[in-house]
Amino acid sequence: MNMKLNMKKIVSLLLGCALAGTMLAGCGPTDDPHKSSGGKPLKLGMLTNMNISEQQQAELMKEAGKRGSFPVNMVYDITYYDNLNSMQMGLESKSIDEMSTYQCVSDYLLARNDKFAQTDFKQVKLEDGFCCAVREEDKELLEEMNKAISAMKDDGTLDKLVQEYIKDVKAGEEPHAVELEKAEGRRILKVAVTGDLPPIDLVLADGKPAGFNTAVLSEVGKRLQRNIEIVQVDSGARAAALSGKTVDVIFWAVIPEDKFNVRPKDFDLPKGAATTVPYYKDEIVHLAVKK
Amino acid sequence: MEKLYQIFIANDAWITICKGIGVTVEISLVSLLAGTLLGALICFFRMGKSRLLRLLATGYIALVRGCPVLMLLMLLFYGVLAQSGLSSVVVAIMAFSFHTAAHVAELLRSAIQATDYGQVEAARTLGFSRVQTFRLVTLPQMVQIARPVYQSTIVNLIQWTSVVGYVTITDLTRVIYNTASRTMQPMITMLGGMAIYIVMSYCVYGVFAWLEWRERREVEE
Repeated sequence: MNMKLNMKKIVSLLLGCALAGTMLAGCGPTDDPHKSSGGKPLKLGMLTNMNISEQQQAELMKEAGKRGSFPVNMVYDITYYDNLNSMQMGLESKSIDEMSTYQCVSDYLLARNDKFAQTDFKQVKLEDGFCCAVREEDKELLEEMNKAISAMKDDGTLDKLVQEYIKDVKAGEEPHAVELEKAEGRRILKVAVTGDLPPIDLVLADGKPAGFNTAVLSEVGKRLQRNIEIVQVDSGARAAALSGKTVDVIFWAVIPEDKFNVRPKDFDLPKGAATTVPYYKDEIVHLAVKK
Repeated sequence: MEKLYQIFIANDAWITICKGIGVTVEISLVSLLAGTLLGALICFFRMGKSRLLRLLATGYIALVRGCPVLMLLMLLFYGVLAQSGLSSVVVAIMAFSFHTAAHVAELLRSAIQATDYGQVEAARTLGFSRVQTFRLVTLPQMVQIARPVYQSTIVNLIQWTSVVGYVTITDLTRVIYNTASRTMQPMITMLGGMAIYIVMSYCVYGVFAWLEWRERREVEE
């Protein structure tokens, strides 16, 4: 008798949970691709930004929409992620509806994982610049790096590297590792890589750092007459590694370059750091799970 | 199967994973040894007669146990010891040793308090020295009581080390993250990483189970 009563209780509890879950989760997508069910903003995953909260970021996009400088129907509820892996898992588990990343990263991802597809966000043509960050007091290094990057732009070296390490990488393949030139007597320049943003920054199966950033580094090292020493660090600890003088240079993904002025300049710059001129620009795209 | 092969085996990926396991085991083992010794010392101070040492030990335990190990690690590596020239592995071992020591100190104290003090008094009455009483009466019981919690501490320690990627160390977790980014298959890769950590944990449980089984057999014989 008791057993029967317990079973009844368990079944009704399970049914209750299922009903509540259905009510909370809603019943399927709406027609507007940028609004989730119930007219709520679309849940968007982004990589963590330093000096701005998720709410502020969403508010800025909304305001830009009101100003007419950003599609007004694109209203987002933003969630920050520490790295691409966790953001991708968030998308797979449907904690978020879309994830924001770069075109080259999206191409790399879509060639390896057929669960996702790009959304129409690309039409917005929002662009970010990739740069290096050094400590604010390292003015000489900043100047040298700026000179080297500008010279690489002028003589076409950067275009060649973009072609070789980003554009020419065949779908499903990885960019090859770069041999960093070492010469005796040269000063060491310690650079942090994360391996979190292929094909720009990745670590190969044999544990060697590779990708476009290492190719840029190799060239910068030659021009600065420095021996480059690569240090792998978690992306969340890059700023600490720079300020704690564990490394001299970190890669920083964004200097806002968008024509919509959605985000204030340097909103993602760590305090006490200065960034070089961008060495690469890429469009921001959104990915969603295929329907 | 092909996907699993590509993620975990192909292009020497398995060697990189093994190296990651090696780093995790190295940091865990050395931290465990150092942490246990330091923990025993702190426990001695905590239960000792000197009021100052007792206060210091209590403060240390409260501070370190209440602080997330990642914060402690970051504070040591990027702050206090940033200019010391110590390698990241050494700093990580120090951080995990400090953290483990606080836990071990409390674990030993509770184990000692759980033993019957009457037996100590009886041993002393029978003419045992303090060292003999500890070695022959308190220690064997303490070990029995502390064992289950100690093995959990070891397993916890292995899991705590997964944050060393923040201080430029490529351990198992970091290798798994890199692999997940490279292959763009985070779910499968994380599941693989989780399986490796579970195997490592069960190796620890296995060692303790074996020790227990051996002791039981000796008693029976």
